Parts: sequence; structure tokens; C-alpha cells
Amino acid sequence: MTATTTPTLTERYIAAVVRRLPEKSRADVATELRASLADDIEARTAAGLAPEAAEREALVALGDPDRLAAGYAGTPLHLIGPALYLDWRRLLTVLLSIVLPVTAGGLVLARALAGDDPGEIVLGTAGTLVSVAIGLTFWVTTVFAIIERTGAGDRPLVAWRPESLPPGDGKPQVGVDVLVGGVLGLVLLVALLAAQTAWPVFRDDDGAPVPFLHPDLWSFWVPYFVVVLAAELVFSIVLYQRRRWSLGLAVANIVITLASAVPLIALIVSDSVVNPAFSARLADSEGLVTLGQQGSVVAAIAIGAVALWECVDGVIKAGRAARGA
Amino acid sequence: MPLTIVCDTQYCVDMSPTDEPALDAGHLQELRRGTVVLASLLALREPGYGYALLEHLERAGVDVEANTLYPLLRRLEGQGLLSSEWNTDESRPRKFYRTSPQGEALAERLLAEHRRLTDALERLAAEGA
Repeated sequence: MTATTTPTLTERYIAAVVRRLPEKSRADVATELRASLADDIEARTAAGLAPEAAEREALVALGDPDRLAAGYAGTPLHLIGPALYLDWRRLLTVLLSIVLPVTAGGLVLARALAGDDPGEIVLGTAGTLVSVAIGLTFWVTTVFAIIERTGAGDRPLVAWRPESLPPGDGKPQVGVDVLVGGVLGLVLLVALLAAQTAWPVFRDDDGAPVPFLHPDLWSFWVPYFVVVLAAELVFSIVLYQRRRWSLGLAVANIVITLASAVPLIALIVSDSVVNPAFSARLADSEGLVTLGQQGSVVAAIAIGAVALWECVDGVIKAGRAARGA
Repeated sequence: MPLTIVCDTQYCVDMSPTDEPALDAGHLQELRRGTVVLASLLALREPGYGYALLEHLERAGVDVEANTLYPLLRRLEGQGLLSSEWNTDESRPRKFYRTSPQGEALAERLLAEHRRLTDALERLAAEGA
């Protein structure tokens, strides 16, 4: 080779291939590749090509040096291969479906109790959820990419067995709507608490907001309902994870449903939900006077009916699951 | 000019210059997969270096890309199926590969399996005729 200040295309190509290889095999691969390329270029020149064109064509035929280096080193050209992909997808799905609802519930509650306004709560929570989802996905993917490259990537982490088959017809009994329902109660309560000071319907003579809820509720019932609704959220997550109803879940469902419905109906019937000052303002507005009384009866009946149905529904579905239907 | 290169985790097989529809190409590639190892083990019973083997296989009717064959030779060497020796007598130092006894034994088993499959396919083809 003649001494040149700029390396030839061939030398640059060989350097690009071997820099990806272990130190001890670099010189060997480089020497062999140099001879193979020289042979190829010679053959193409003999076929009538100009030397520069022959060199270009020979390099193009060998293709991307990183791809060739991966061939030599035996490293995969994918992040997560077919053996691990399903493990990766399942783990990520489970993690996201647990972490995101819990994070959302916790954040909304914390921000509402801290007195943030509703817009801030929604935007702040959404922003945090996006970063949590991205972070979680990144780290799970990173761990799997490392496993793929440690030699354990040629078989699934969890071996499949016939026992892993879903029961019955394979259709999960429970969909993602259960999670939505679980978060909804907490979100609605927090939204109501936040809205009654942030966007008051009425203001008193000093311009301070007249809250919708009875002030006495704060001593016990508001914390009580937060706890019950949080329990309902946990319940819905467990139910979603299992994908099927069971007797235990049906009983838990009845306890939680009654724990929220019975006190709520009692409070509505005893007229202890709505702030009297709010009712008084409402009474001043024309045409809405009697709506309060009739409305509370209708609401109590509706809540009772929905609660009863939820209890029965859980028992029916648990029975169906037990029969394998 | 090779038109399509279809890859799996093992190696790439050149799906060259026919005008088969894409569907045919995929199935043919599946069928040809694996024959490059056998062809190399058989051809290298006489020692040969990378570029010469490439031409040898091409003349014999086994199409394979250089960027598949070169790493494959090193992998087979690592598995003890090929032995190698540097020849520095000529102007260009060349790495000569030769099928090891272990490689010859594997080639025999692969060839027997290939014949068995060919016979089976021939019988199936005759049944329908």
C-alpha cells in the first residue's frame, strides 16, 4: 500500500467494521476483509470497471459496515427478539395498568386537598402520567434489551404451560371499563370538592363562595367517602388484574358498595348533604324551590337501585365464572 | 444484480434475479435457508479463502451474499466445523478455511437429512400425480 494522507474508502470501511468487534479479533478480520475486498475489486476491474467505480461497487455489495460487524460479532440486530417480546408486552401492560391509575388517583387527591384549581389538577396530573408512562416503558425496555444481549434472549423468561390458558371461552369477563369506573368515583368527588370553591354557583354578600356541600360533612363524611372511594379504586384494580369475578370479589364488592350507598342515602334523606346557605340561595332563585326536595328523593332511590344492581351483578358474574361460562 | 436480501437471525440468502412474485420469493427463501452451511462445509473439503469460496458456490449454483458468507465462515470456525490457516506466500495474505473432521461428519448428517427430505417430497409429489 502506498503512503497516503487520507485513507482509501476500503480502509475507512474496514475500520468502520472492526471498531465494533472485540479487540482480539480486529486485526484478523481486518486482514481477511482487506484481501476479500481486493479480490472483489480486482475482479470488477478486470470486467472493465474503472478502479474507483469497482471499489464503490464492492463496498456497496458488502453493505452497511455495522450490519457486517453484527454478523461477525453475532449480536442481534433487534432491540427485543421474538422469544422475549411477549414477556416484555405482558409485563409492561400489567405495570402500566397498575401504576397509572394509582398515580392518577393519588395525584388528583393530593392536588385537590392542596387546593389547586381544577384546570391545574387535570393538566398537572396528565403531564405526570405521561412522564411516568414514558419512564416505566423506557426502563422495562432497557432491562429486556440487556437480557436479549446476555444470551438469555433465545427463549421466553416464563415458559408457557396449558395451565396458563384463560378459563372458559378465553374472553376476559372484565374489561378496562372497570378501571374507569374505579377511578370515576374518586375523580367526581374531588372535582365536586374543587369546583364548589373554584367555580361557585353562588357567592355570599362578601363575595365569598357559598359551597354546595354541607360544612358539617368535612368533620367525618368527606374523609370517609375519600377512603371508601379509594378502596373501590383498589378493588377495581384487583378485579381488572384477575379478569374474572370470584365469590370473594363479589362479597368485597357488596361491602364496598353498601359502605358508600347506605351512608349516602341516609345523608340525602336526612337533608344533610346540601349546605343550607346554598339551599337558601337556591330557594331565592325562581322555579327551583321544590326541585331540592323532590330531587333528593329521586336521587336516593336512584342510588339505592344502582347499588342493589351492582351487588347482584357481582354475585351473578361470580356464579358464571365458577361454572366456567 | 441481487434484488432482495431476506434475513433471519442465522444468515441472509440471496433471492436474486428471477421475476418470481413476492409470495414465491418468501417461500423459496424458506426452502433455501440452511443450505449455505451445508454447501460451504462440502466445498471447503478442499481448502479455500472467502472470495474464492463465494465464486465457487456461485458457479455451483448456490447464491449467497458476501456479507452473509464471510461472518458465517468465522461462526463455523468458532464452532470447530472449519479450521483455518493464514497463507502469506502470495502478495495478499489470505485466510484459508478447511472443513474439520467434525465439520465433515456434520456435512454427512446434513446431506443425509437433505436427501431424506428430497425423497419424501418426491414420494409426495408422485402420490398426487
